[in-house]
Amino acid sequence: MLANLPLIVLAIALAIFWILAFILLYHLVRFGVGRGPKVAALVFFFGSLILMIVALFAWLNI
Amino acid sequence: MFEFLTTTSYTFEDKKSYENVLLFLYRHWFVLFLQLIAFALLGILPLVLAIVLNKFLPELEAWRPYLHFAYAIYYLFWWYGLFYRIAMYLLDYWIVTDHRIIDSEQHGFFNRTVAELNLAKIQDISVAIIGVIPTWLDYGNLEVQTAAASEKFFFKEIPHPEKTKDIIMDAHNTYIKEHPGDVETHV
Repeated sequence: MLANLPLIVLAIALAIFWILAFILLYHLVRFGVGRGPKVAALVFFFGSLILMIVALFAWLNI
Repeated sequence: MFEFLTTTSYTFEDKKSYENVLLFLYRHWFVLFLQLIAFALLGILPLVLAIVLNKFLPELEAWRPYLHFAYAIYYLFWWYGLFYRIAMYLLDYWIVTDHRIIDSEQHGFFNRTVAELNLAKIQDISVAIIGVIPTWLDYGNLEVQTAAASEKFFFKEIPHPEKTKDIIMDAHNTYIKEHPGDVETHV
Protein backbone atom coordinates (compact mmCIF):
# COMPACT_ATOMS: atom_id res chain seq x y z
CA MET A 1 0.00 0.00 0.00
CA LEU A 2 2.76 2.44 1.05
CA ALA A 3 4.75 1.58 -2.07
CA ASN A 4 1.76 2.59 -4.19
CA LEU A 5 1.27 5.88 -2.35
CA PRO A 6 3.05 8.07 -4.98
CA LEU A 7 0.93 6.48 -7.70
CA ILE A 8 -2.27 7.15 -5.73
CA VAL A 9 -1.19 10.75 -5.05
CA LEU A 10 -0.34 11.24 -8.75
CA ALA A 11 -3.66 9.77 -9.92
CA ILE A 12 -5.71 11.91 -7.51
CA ALA A 13 -3.69 15.07 -8.27
CA LEU A 14 -3.99 14.60 -12.04
CA ALA A 15 -7.72 13.82 -11.83
CA ILE A 16 -8.41 16.98 -9.76
CA PHE A 17 -6.09 19.05 -11.95
CA TRP A 18 -7.68 18.06 -15.27
CA ILE A 19 -11.23 18.60 -13.96
CA LEU A 20 -10.25 22.12 -12.84
CA ALA A 21 -8.31 22.68 -16.07
CA PHE A 22 -11.33 21.71 -18.17
CA ILE A 23 -13.55 24.18 -16.27
CA LEU A 24 -10.95 26.93 -16.71
CA LEU A 25 -10.52 26.22 -20.44
CA TYR A 26 -14.29 26.12 -20.90
CA HIS A 27 -14.72 29.55 -19.28
CA LEU A 28 -11.90 31.12 -21.28
CA VAL A 29 -13.10 29.80 -24.63
CA ARG A 30 -16.85 30.14 -24.02
CA PHE A 31 -17.01 33.54 -22.30
CA GLY A 32 -13.80 35.26 -23.38
CA VAL A 33 -14.15 38.05 -25.92
CA GLY A 34 -11.44 38.57 -28.54
CA ARG A 35 -8.28 36.56 -29.06
CA GLY A 36 -6.64 37.21 -25.65
CA PRO A 37 -8.63 34.61 -23.65
CA LYS A 38 -8.28 32.02 -26.43
CA VAL A 39 -4.52 32.45 -26.62
CA ALA A 40 -4.36 32.24 -22.80
CA ALA A 41 -6.36 28.98 -22.99
CA LEU A 42 -3.93 27.58 -25.57
CA VAL A 43 -0.86 28.51 -23.49
CA PHE A 44 -2.48 27.04 -20.36
CA PHE A 45 -3.34 23.80 -22.15
CA PHE A 46 0.15 23.21 -23.59
CA GLY A 47 1.81 24.24 -20.31
CA SER A 48 -0.45 21.78 -18.47
CA LEU A 49 0.56 18.96 -20.83
CA ILE A 50 4.26 19.69 -20.27
CA LEU A 51 3.85 19.86 -16.47
CA MET A 52 1.87 16.62 -16.48
CA ILE A 53 4.69 14.90 -18.38
CA VAL A 54 7.21 16.34 -15.87
CA ALA A 55 5.07 14.97 -12.99
CA LEU A 56 4.92 11.54 -14.69
CA PHE A 57 8.71 11.47 -15.12
CA ALA A 58 9.16 12.56 -11.48
CA TRP A 59 6.94 9.65 -10.45
CA LEU A 60 8.86 7.19 -12.67
CA ASN A 61 12.12 8.26 -11.02
CA ILE A 62 10.87 7.30 -7.53
CA MET B 1 -10.36 25.97 -36.06
CA PHE B 2 -8.08 28.97 -35.77
CA GLU B 3 -10.74 31.66 -36.40
CA PHE B 4 -10.04 33.06 -32.94
CA LEU B 5 -6.69 34.30 -34.22
CA THR B 6 -8.38 36.40 -36.88
CA THR B 7 -11.42 37.71 -35.02
CA THR B 8 -10.84 41.04 -33.30
CA SER B 9 -11.48 42.27 -29.78
CA TYR B 10 -14.41 44.17 -31.21
CA THR B 11 -16.52 41.08 -31.90
CA PHE B 12 -18.71 39.69 -29.13
CA GLU B 13 -21.78 37.54 -28.67
CA ASP B 14 -25.09 39.34 -29.33
CA LYS B 15 -23.41 42.25 -31.14
CA LYS B 16 -25.94 43.92 -33.41
CA SER B 17 -24.99 44.31 -37.07
CA TYR B 18 -25.48 48.08 -36.90
CA GLU B 19 -23.55 48.47 -33.66
CA ASN B 20 -20.00 49.86 -33.53
CA VAL B 21 -17.70 49.17 -30.61
CA LEU B 22 -16.14 52.35 -29.26
CA LEU B 23 -14.29 50.91 -26.26
CA PHE B 24 -13.36 47.47 -25.02
CA LEU B 25 -11.90 47.64 -21.52
CA TYR B 26 -10.25 45.27 -19.10
CA ARG B 27 -8.98 46.36 -15.70
CA HIS B 28 -5.63 48.14 -15.83
CA TRP B 29 -2.67 45.80 -16.44
CA PHE B 30 -1.14 46.82 -13.10
CA VAL B 31 -3.99 45.09 -11.22
CA LEU B 32 -3.02 41.79 -12.86
CA PHE B 33 0.69 42.53 -12.48
CA LEU B 34 0.36 42.73 -8.67
CA GLN B 35 -1.28 39.31 -8.58
CA LEU B 36 1.37 37.87 -10.91
CA ILE B 37 4.12 39.08 -8.55
CA ALA B 38 2.50 37.04 -5.77
CA PHE B 39 2.50 34.00 -8.08
CA ALA B 40 6.14 34.61 -9.04
CA LEU B 41 7.03 34.46 -5.33
CA LEU B 42 5.05 31.23 -4.93
CA GLY B 43 6.86 29.93 -8.02
CA ILE B 44 10.33 30.33 -6.54
CA LEU B 45 9.29 28.85 -3.18
CA PRO B 46 10.19 25.21 -4.07
CA LEU B 47 13.55 26.37 -5.49
CA VAL B 48 14.35 28.14 -2.21
CA LEU B 49 13.21 25.06 -0.28
CA ALA B 50 15.41 22.80 -2.44
CA ILE B 51 18.47 25.02 -1.83
CA VAL B 52 17.81 25.15 1.92
CA LEU B 53 17.30 21.39 2.17
CA ASN B 54 20.48 20.67 0.15
CA LYS B 55 22.52 22.97 2.35
CA PHE B 56 21.22 22.14 5.82
CA LEU B 57 19.82 18.63 5.47
CA PRO B 58 22.12 16.73 3.07
CA GLU B 59 21.00 13.45 4.73
CA LEU B 60 17.71 13.85 2.80
CA GLU B 61 19.58 12.82 -0.37
CA ALA B 62 17.71 9.47 -0.46
CA TRP B 63 14.39 11.33 -0.43
CA ARG B 64 15.29 13.56 -3.36
CA PRO B 65 13.08 11.71 -5.94
CA TYR B 66 10.10 12.10 -3.59
CA LEU B 67 10.86 15.82 -3.21
CA HIS B 68 11.09 16.21 -6.99
CA PHE B 69 7.75 14.46 -7.30
CA ALA B 70 6.22 16.82 -4.69
CA TYR B 71 7.66 19.85 -6.55
CA ALA B 72 6.16 18.60 -9.83
CA ILE B 73 2.69 18.27 -8.27
CA TYR B 74 3.11 21.69 -6.62
CA TYR B 75 3.99 23.34 -9.96
CA LEU B 76 1.00 21.69 -11.64
CA PHE B 77 -1.38 23.43 -9.23
CA TRP B 78 0.69 26.62 -9.23
CA TRP B 79 0.22 26.76 -13.01
CA TYR B 80 -3.51 26.29 -12.57
CA GLY B 81 -3.71 29.05 -9.90
CA LEU B 82 -1.75 31.42 -12.12
CA PHE B 83 -4.12 30.94 -15.05
CA TYR B 84 -7.16 31.09 -12.79
CA ARG B 85 -6.11 34.67 -11.90
CA ILE B 86 -5.43 35.49 -15.56
CA ALA B 87 -8.81 34.03 -16.55
CA MET B 88 -10.67 36.09 -13.94
CA TYR B 89 -8.87 39.18 -15.27
CA LEU B 90 -9.74 38.40 -18.89
CA LEU B 91 -13.38 37.56 -18.14
CA ASP B 92 -14.10 40.91 -16.45
CA TYR B 93 -14.66 43.45 -19.20
CA TRP B 94 -16.67 46.48 -20.18
CA ILE B 95 -17.79 47.26 -23.72
CA VAL B 96 -19.01 50.67 -24.87
CA THR B 97 -20.75 50.69 -28.23
CA ASP B 98 -22.52 53.52 -30.02
CA HIS B 99 -25.82 52.10 -28.64
CA ARG B 100 -25.16 50.64 -25.19
CA ILE B 101 -22.75 49.78 -22.39
CA ILE B 102 -22.15 46.13 -21.46
CA ASP B 103 -20.74 45.19 -18.06
CA SER B 104 -19.58 41.58 -17.81
CA GLU B 105 -18.08 40.34 -14.57
CA GLN B 106 -16.88 36.88 -13.56
CA HIS B 107 -17.04 36.29 -9.80
CA GLY B 108 -15.57 32.78 -9.94
CA PHE B 109 -16.51 29.69 -11.91
CA PHE B 110 -20.18 29.42 -12.88
CA ASN B 111 -20.88 32.80 -11.30
CA ARG B 112 -21.20 35.46 -13.92
CA THR B 113 -23.16 38.70 -14.20
CA VAL B 114 -23.78 40.51 -17.48
CA ALA B 115 -25.66 43.81 -17.49
CA GLU B 116 -26.31 46.28 -20.26
CA LEU B 117 -27.45 49.85 -20.35
CA ASN B 118 -28.85 51.85 -23.24
CA LEU B 119 -26.89 55.06 -23.80
CA ALA B 120 -30.10 57.11 -23.57
CA LYS B 121 -30.51 56.01 -19.91
CA ILE B 122 -27.27 57.65 -18.75
CA GLN B 123 -27.85 60.46 -16.24
CA ASP B 124 -24.32 61.31 -15.16
CA ILE B 125 -20.83 59.83 -14.96
CA SER B 126 -18.28 60.21 -12.20
CA VAL B 127 -14.65 59.12 -11.99
CA ALA B 128 -12.66 58.15 -8.88
CA ILE B 129 -8.88 57.80 -8.99
CA ILE B 130 -7.70 57.04 -5.47
CA GLY B 131 -4.09 56.44 -4.43
CA VAL B 132 -0.57 57.24 -5.59
CA ILE B 133 -0.10 54.40 -8.08
CA PRO B 134 -3.56 54.78 -9.71
CA THR B 135 -2.88 58.51 -10.11
CA TRP B 136 0.58 57.83 -11.56
CA LEU B 137 -0.58 55.09 -13.94
CA ASP B 138 -3.92 56.78 -14.63
CA TYR B 139 -6.43 54.11 -13.69
CA GLY B 140 -9.50 54.14 -11.48
CA ASN B 141 -13.22 53.56 -11.16
CA LEU B 142 -15.92 55.06 -13.31
CA GLU B 143 -19.53 55.16 -12.14
CA VAL B 144 -22.45 55.61 -14.51
CA GLN B 145 -25.66 56.76 -12.87
CA THR B 146 -28.73 55.63 -14.78
CA ALA B 147 -32.21 57.12 -14.95
CA ALA B 148 -33.41 54.60 -12.36
CA ALA B 149 -32.42 55.95 -8.93
CA SER B 150 -30.82 52.77 -7.62
CA GLU B 151 -29.13 51.47 -10.76
CA LYS B 152 -25.45 52.18 -11.21
CA PHE B 153 -22.83 50.84 -13.57
CA PHE B 154 -19.30 50.45 -12.26
CA PHE B 155 -16.21 50.24 -14.42
CA LYS B 156 -13.62 48.95 -11.97
CA GLU B 157 -9.92 49.90 -12.13
CA ILE B 158 -10.06 50.76 -15.82
CA PRO B 159 -7.22 52.57 -17.60
CA HIS B 160 -7.71 56.27 -18.50
CA PRO B 161 -11.11 56.72 -16.77
CA GLU B 162 -11.30 60.45 -17.63
CA LYS B 163 -10.85 59.77 -21.33
CA THR B 164 -13.39 56.93 -21.08
CA LYS B 165 -15.89 59.30 -19.43
CA ASP B 166 -15.51 61.76 -22.33
CA ILE B 167 -15.99 59.01 -24.92
CA ILE B 168 -19.15 57.75 -23.16
CA MET B 169 -20.57 61.27 -22.85
CA ASP B 170 -19.88 61.95 -26.56
CA ALA B 171 -21.52 58.63 -27.48
CA HIS B 172 -24.51 59.49 -25.25
CA ASN B 173 -24.96 62.90 -26.92
CA THR B 174 -24.62 61.42 -30.42
CA TYR B 175 -27.11 58.65 -29.58
CA ILE B 176 -29.67 61.15 -28.24
CA LYS B 177 -29.25 63.26 -31.38
CA GLU B 178 -29.59 60.29 -33.76
CA HIS B 179 -32.42 58.59 -31.85
CA PRO B 180 -35.02 61.23 -31.02
CA GLY B 181 -37.57 59.77 -28.60
CA ASP B 182 -35.15 56.82 -28.01
CA VAL B 183 -36.60 54.97 -31.02
CA GLU B 184 -34.25 52.49 -32.72
CA THR B 185 -34.19 53.19 -36.45
CA HIS B 186 -32.21 50.04 -37.34
CA VAL B 187 -33.92 46.70 -37.84
